[in-house]
Amino acid sequence: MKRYALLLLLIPSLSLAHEPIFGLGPGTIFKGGVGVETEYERGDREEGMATEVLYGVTEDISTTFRIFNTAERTSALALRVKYRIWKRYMPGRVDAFSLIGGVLRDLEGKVTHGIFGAAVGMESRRWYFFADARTAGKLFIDGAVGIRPWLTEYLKPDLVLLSEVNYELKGGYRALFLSPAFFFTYRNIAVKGGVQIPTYRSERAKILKVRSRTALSVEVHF
Amino acid sequence: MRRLLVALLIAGFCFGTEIVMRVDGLACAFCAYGLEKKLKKLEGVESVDISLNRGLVRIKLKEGYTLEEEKLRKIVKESGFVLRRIEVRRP
Repeated sequence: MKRYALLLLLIPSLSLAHEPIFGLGPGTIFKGGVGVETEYERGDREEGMATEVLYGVTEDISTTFRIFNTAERTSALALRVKYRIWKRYMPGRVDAFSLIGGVLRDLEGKVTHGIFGAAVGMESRRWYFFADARTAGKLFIDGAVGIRPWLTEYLKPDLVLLSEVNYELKGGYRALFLSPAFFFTYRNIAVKGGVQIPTYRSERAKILKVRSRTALSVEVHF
Repeated sequence: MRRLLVALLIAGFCFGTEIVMRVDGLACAFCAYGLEKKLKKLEGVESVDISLNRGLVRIKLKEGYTLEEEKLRKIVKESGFVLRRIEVRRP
C-alpha cells in the first residue's frame, strides 16, 4: 500500500521547466546544459523533497536523474532519457514529439519499474498545448493547455498559467485529476507548482484514499 | 553564394559590428537563456540582446573581432533553435 502511494507521489513530476507540472512535455535542455531542481511534493499519504539533475547530451537528448526523500529516508531513484525525435520551428513557436525511457527504483519496496512514454507539444509565445502517455508501474495519460497572459520580453519576469487533466490507470485503480498549475521564470531561474484535484476516483482509488496532491519546485539552468 | 557573401561580410574588417539573427522557436525566456549563454562565451562578443516577441537576436562585437555564419548557425542549433536569416550591420 505504501509503495503504491510512493509511486503516485513520484512519477508525475519528472518534468522540464516549461512543461506541465504533473504531466510531461517533449522539451529538452540545450546541448551541454545542466539543470538542477528541488521540489516539494505532497502526495496521497507522504510528503517529501525531490532533487533532480538534468543534462543536455545534445539539443534533442536530455537525461534526468531524480532522487526522492521523505523525512525519514531516501525512498526512490529515477533515471530517465528523453529523445526529441521530431520538431518544427516557426517564429516564436516550436512543435515537438519526444520518446521517453528510463527506470524507477523504489528503494522502500525494492521494486524496479521501467518508464516508457511519448509526449507531444506546441509551445508558442502565447499558447502551450501538451499531451503525453507513459507507463511507470501504471498508465498515465495527460493533457495540458497553457497561456502566457503577458508577452514580456527576454529580461523580464515571465508567467505561464496551465490547466492540466491527468488520468491514472492500473487494473481497478482509475483516477482523474484537474490540475491548475503555473510556471514563473526569470532568466535561468524557474519557480513552478500546481495542485492535482481528484475529480473522479474508482472504488479502488477511494480505498487507496487518493486525495489532492501538491508540487512546488525551483529549477535553475546552468 | 549568398551564404558565402554573408560569411565574407562577417569575416571582414568589423569595427563595432552588429549581427542580427532571425531565430525561429524562441518561445520563452527560460529556453533562450542557453542561447545567450553560448553566444556570450564567444570571443569578441560585447553584448547579446534577445527580442522574443520579434524573434531577433542581436550580437554586438568588439572592435576587430569577427564571427562566422556557420559557427553561429551551430550554436543556435545546439541551443534548440533554428537560424533563419542573418544580417550584418556596420556602424
